[in-house]
Amino acid sequence: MYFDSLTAVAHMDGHGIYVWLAYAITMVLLSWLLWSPSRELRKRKLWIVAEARRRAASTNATPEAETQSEQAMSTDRAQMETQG
Amino acid sequence: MWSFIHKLGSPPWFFRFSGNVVKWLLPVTIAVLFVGAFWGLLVAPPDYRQGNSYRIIYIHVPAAVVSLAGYYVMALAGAISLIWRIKMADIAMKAAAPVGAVLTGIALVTGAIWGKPTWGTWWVWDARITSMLILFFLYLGVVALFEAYENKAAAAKACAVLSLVGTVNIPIIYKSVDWWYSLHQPASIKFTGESAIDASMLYPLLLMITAFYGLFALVVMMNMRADLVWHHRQSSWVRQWAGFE
Amino acid sequence: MSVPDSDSLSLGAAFYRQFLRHGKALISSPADLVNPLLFFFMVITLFPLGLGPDPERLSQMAPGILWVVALLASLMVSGKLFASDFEDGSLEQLCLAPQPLAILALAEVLAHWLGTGFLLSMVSPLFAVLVGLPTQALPVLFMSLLLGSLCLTLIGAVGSALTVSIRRGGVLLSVIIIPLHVPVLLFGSTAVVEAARDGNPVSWLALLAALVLMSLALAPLAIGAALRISLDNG
Repeated sequence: MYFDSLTAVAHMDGHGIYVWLAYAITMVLLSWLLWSPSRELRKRKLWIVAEARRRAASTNATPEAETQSEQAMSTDRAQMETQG
Repeated sequence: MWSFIHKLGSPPWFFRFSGNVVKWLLPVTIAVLFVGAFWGLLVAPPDYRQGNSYRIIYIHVPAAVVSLAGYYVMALAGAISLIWRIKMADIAMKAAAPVGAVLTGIALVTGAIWGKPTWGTWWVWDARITSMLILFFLYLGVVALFEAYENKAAAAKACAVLSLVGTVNIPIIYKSVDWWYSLHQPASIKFTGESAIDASMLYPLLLMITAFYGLFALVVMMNMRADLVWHHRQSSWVRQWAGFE
Repeated sequence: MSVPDSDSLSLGAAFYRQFLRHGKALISSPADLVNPLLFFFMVITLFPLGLGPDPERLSQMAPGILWVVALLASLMVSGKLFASDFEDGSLEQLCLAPQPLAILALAEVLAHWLGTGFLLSMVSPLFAVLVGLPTQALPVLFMSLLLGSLCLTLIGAVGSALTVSIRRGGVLLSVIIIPLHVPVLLFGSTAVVEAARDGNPVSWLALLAALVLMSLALAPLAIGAALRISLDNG
């Protein structure tokens, strides 16, 4: 360990602001890189499940339930398409 | 070996395979990243000339190294897609472009932040930074071209051609910027650093480079998985994965 | 234009015909020939207006100014290279021709270059006087632009082929092509800088010539592939 105290770590002989700023920006960007595809995958999984449910339901559902779920699906789909 | 490569081209197989890889690569990469950052930030001694500001090297250099390698990976995927018309290569190329762009952006931003205490200014037209900026433009060009095409299959092919042209150009760009810089080099600004690096500083750097490579592979795979699921949302293997059938 | 007997043409004859066809199209619309020169002229006048009229400073910046403006002029016209062929369907016929698309496209690019880049490098010494480029650098400026503009046109043609099927592809063309133009700009402007300060510009001109040879060999392949992709998209 090179530094004696936490304040020394934060200060780094006057360079602390630069070093920590660089690491913070990198951290944010890397987290975003990791987070965005997993969010996308999760969202698409939900969509696929909902779509499969809708298909299963449409074979033996009442007409109004069908139109309802269809409306829900179409908004889902519009969202999916605008985001990717 | 060949059967492995053939399998890579099959979406369901790749999806399962990449799922397993991501599962262990994700924690390993994050662990290496944190160990490397901890080592570089807190344990390694300061540079005798630049003091503590040099610690930015542990993210700047890995980001720069991997973003350059990433361009070649992207172009290789593009070549595979053009020659053998493998759909998976299209998806890999499309997945790699934004990751490379972000890594190049990280290298540029950290370079600028590093420049402030070292050179007293945020931006210097140093040879390395200039080449990095042009690499950033090359990535942005590929991303912009992909977005502009309506037909996404044609978009992938167009990006493949563009990234191959870029690949031929990159060594020329690096070399020309180098010569240009050495001709105009201002005497007061001279970059010193990695040429004679001590082992105590080198090990965390190698760790961080490894972590960044891992991260690149990881994010490309994750992007590909999200893309694959969407492309094959009608297939039974995707429905099975989602918990149906 | 119909190509009824294209099967019987040899490669050289097909190349020549394509070259003539594009050249004639250029000559028949003089505005396409004059406008890039006008653009070059006008943008160069902007620099003394923006930077101030100090002749010493201007002559110091002259190589860079001239080269950057030449690059911009080349970018401006690159977008039009395959546009009319794409719109009137002759590009599809070109793709179906028995001769390799890369060679036929090269003929068009060369004709285009003669009408734009070549012309621009011919008149560039005139405009160089406006920004006070030292007289001994004029031949090098001409040579560097002659070689460089061919390079810029070839690379620009790749961009044009990639973006021809995209509506409003003009800005996109600049975005994808400018980073590829960097080495040409560096070699070209450095050659002129060297000549202006009585240095040795020959090595830089040689590098430019090497770039020309390389892009002559490789760019047509990329152009051909890109044109086929653009047809798939449109």
